[in-house]
Amino acid sequence: MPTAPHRSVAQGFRAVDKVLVVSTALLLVIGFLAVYSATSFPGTREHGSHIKQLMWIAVGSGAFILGALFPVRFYDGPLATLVYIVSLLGVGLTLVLGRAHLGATRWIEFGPMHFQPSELAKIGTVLLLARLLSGRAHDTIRPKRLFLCLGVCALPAALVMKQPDLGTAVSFLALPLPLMYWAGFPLFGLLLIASPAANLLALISVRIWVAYVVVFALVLWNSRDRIGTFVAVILLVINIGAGIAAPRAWNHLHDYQKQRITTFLDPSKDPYGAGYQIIQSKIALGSGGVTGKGYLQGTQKRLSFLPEQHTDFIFCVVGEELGFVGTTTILLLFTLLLTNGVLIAYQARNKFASVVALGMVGILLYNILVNVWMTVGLAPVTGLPLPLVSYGGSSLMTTLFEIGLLANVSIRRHDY
Amino acid sequence: MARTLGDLERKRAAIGFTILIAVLFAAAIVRLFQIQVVQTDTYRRMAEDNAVRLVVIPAARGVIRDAHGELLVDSVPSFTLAVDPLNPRLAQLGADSVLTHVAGLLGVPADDLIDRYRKQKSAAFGPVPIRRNLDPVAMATIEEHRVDLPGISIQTEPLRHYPGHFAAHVLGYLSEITEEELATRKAEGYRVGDMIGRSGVEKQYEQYLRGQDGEEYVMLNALGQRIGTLSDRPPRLPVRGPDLFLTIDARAQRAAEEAFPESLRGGLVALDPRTGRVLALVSRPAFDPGEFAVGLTSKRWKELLTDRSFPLLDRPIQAAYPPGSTWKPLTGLAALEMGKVTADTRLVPCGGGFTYGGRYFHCWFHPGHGSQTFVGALARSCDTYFYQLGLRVGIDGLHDWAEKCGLIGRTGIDLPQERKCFVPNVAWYEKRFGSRGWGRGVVLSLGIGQAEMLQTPLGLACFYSLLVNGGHRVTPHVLLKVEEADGSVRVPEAPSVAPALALSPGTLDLIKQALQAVVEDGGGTGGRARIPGVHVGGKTGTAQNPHGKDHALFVGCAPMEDTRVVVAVMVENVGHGGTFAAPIARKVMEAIVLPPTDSTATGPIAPSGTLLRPVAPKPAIINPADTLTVPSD
Repeated sequence: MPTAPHRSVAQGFRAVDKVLVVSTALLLVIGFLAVYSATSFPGTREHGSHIKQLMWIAVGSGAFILGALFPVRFYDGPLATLVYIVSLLGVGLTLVLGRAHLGATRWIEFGPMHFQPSELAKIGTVLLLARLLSGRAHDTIRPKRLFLCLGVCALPAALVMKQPDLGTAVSFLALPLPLMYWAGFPLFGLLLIASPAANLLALISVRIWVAYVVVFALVLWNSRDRIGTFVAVILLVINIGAGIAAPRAWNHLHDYQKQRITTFLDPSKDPYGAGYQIIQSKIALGSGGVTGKGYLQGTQKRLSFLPEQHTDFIFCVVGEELGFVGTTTILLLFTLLLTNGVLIAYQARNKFASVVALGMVGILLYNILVNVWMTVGLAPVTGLPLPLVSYGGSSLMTTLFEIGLLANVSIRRHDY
Repeated sequence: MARTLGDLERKRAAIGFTILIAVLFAAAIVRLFQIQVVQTDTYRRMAEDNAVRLVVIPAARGVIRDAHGELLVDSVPSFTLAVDPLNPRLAQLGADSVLTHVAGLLGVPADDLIDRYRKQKSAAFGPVPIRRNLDPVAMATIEEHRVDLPGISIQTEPLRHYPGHFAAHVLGYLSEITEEELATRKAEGYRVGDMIGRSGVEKQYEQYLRGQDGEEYVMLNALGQRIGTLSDRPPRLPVRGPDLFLTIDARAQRAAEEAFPESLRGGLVALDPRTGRVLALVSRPAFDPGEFAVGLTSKRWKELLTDRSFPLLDRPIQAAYPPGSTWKPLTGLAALEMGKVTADTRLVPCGGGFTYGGRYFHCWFHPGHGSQTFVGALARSCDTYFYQLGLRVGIDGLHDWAEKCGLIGRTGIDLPQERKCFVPNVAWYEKRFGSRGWGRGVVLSLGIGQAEMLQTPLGLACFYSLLVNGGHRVTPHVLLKVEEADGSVRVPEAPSVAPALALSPGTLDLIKQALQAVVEDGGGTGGRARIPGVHVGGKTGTAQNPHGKDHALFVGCAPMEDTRVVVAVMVENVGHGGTFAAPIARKVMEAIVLPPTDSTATGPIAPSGTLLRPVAPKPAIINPADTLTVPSD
């Protein structure tokens, strides 16, 4: 169905997915109120951050419009590669001249804001992946394309790992498989590709790992006709290699990374060190109860027991003051936002746009879950903000740009 | 669109992703339900613990007063630097680095603070005191840097305030409770950093004095700063320890402190012979209990412990010496009661000594006392006469009468660590030396208060009380009454005065006559104890000891008609009892039997602790005749 190549902003506004915009706006409002509460107690260093947050929301709205403005298809070309390369250069730049922050170098100071190029790199990676995956079907599933896709994700992962930022590095590795599946790559093959990760989980004990390798070898033997003996052998070698290399890789992690993971597994071991944050986070949430202590009434927040309470641990402030009702509301809004994102990807007729939309959903899902799960003790402490809710310009701008791209796809869902 | 997935598959994939997203968020919601709904009570409690601390409001220790209500020990407010080991920021920064910072601000060695903190933090439930009695400058400095010093707080604490060296051994001293004590005494409510009585009344009546600590719940922020109290948990106010009234008479005590030079070693105890009340008690050298109250450094503590003059030893009750001639009344009493002599019995005349078992025993008065009756021999302290009494009474006779008169074992004073008095008997000698290992001539020495017997000055004072009060054994004591904070008064059951010993009529009169003669007759050895207008009695003693010069002793009683005070004085290694001990005893007796003059009027103790002017050691005025005497005048 032909549509006008150019739309007015007003037309776009009418066409844009309302659920997307409303859930985003609600989350921004909740976030602003939470930031105000977290920094409202006079005397704290961050007192009054809510004014700046308002400014970031304004700037972020610009990023949203930017994301929505140009048809996504514009990126389907050299632009995707360009964004990818530029963002990777940015990540490299943080390694060279980024400023040290919290034991890790992730930021580039850019005027008043600390810009985190790894966030842009995620968008660049998705764009490039979408481009690689939106070609003709038979190209898409060729092993060469497959390894290219993996490489496109592995490169920024490796760079970010150097910063070092384990949480973000893992997010690059989580991107390709769902997108490749979405683009038509056979599920079975993807599971085989994912097997080294499962392999790592099996490393809990040597016996389980040996059993896993045996079962995996049998599965490969059964399906050698489908994937070819060569690929089967390579996969087996990679699996065994991963199992053997993992303990060594563990030794290569920074102390604080190891500590975060071990502390995550048992926070009570180190109640005043790294486990402190996890315990304090749960105390703040748990003491909120079902309905919370009331807006601006949080005691844990007020007593500054929570570290980084207006950024990484903003969810706790909501949990303490608004209780289970408040936290669940946020999570339901996020669920609505993301499932609607899947719907947008599903409805998009243009394959590139569809993959990009799903990629944005993936990025957002990862960022949200890493933060929420950290706060409730389901994932290690990684120091990533909660999208839309936490204080911080860099996160708001990239998140709103990502949602802008989703809006973009939704506006032009009928376009090829 | 180049689709590789069929429409159906694509739909399935989209549904799959939707479900995946829902499941991932559901996991978080389930977890939140668990934390916020199921376990909310647990976390709410933890949140309170986080912010709410049980803070102890220390009870002021009871004050100690003399018999007339004069303040002897007070508690004054002071400021203590404390560290809260539970402070999370302190834990993050490391206590050592914070304490080093504090030490730098105060200009004290960091190791001192860190040591104290380490020793105590394990047992602590709240802030650990690491430095007491902060001065205002130090306080201001700490307050100024408060933000950089997480977990550091300044707390108000009552500090024990002693008037210098005054009555140090009666009052005793405090020190911080040790970890071992905490382990065993936690049930009594002791906490880390608590001060606990270590000697004297402070130790003996610790349970009275300490009072009852109060508690309050306060809200603290992450810096450990107090931001309020909890309205639903009202504080429990501390109950201050009751006022303790001692039997000590501040005027007599002051006289004794002034009379007993700081430069000497020895002890003095004054009793009311009618009741056993301790009126004054001095030990030399003395210590300053105030030093302990603020916390001694381990170096200073070692100094005090290893000081060869043992300043912490309470000599009147914790040191025992051969009593020398102060013992002679006991020998005389035993001989009279056993019918070995009468008042008029004349024994072998004193020609400067006595031969027994082929050995010549000297009398201290080499020219000899000649022939004497009981009173004359006791007044002149004739050794020859008492050698013979000793022989007549025998070792076991002396022992048995010593036991009856309370000269064996403890007197039972209400002060810690009293030393036992000891008098040997035959069985003891047999056991110790074997039947052939000792000469029977030892009884001569025992008769004049030498050989293996040991008496504390307090033991002697009790014995002389018995002599002058009609034969009643008294139990010496220092606690008069306890006045609770609410004004109610508890008088401890007064230690009983035992029924009088069944003695022959006249025995005590005879001895008292002799005691008076010791002081008042021209030939008596105790002339320096004379008080014009008052009949004073007493007995001198000069005890030989293997470590240098003789110990000087004197036990005085006044007035002889109705004795109100018995003073036992013992001065180590100075020489003659009549010369060194008697004048000291006189000053104390004067303070009690003479009406107060302006210069000795009782008044409140100067808060600065300047009560005691150092007394210059008196030049020893030694009679040339004295220098010739053989010990045991």
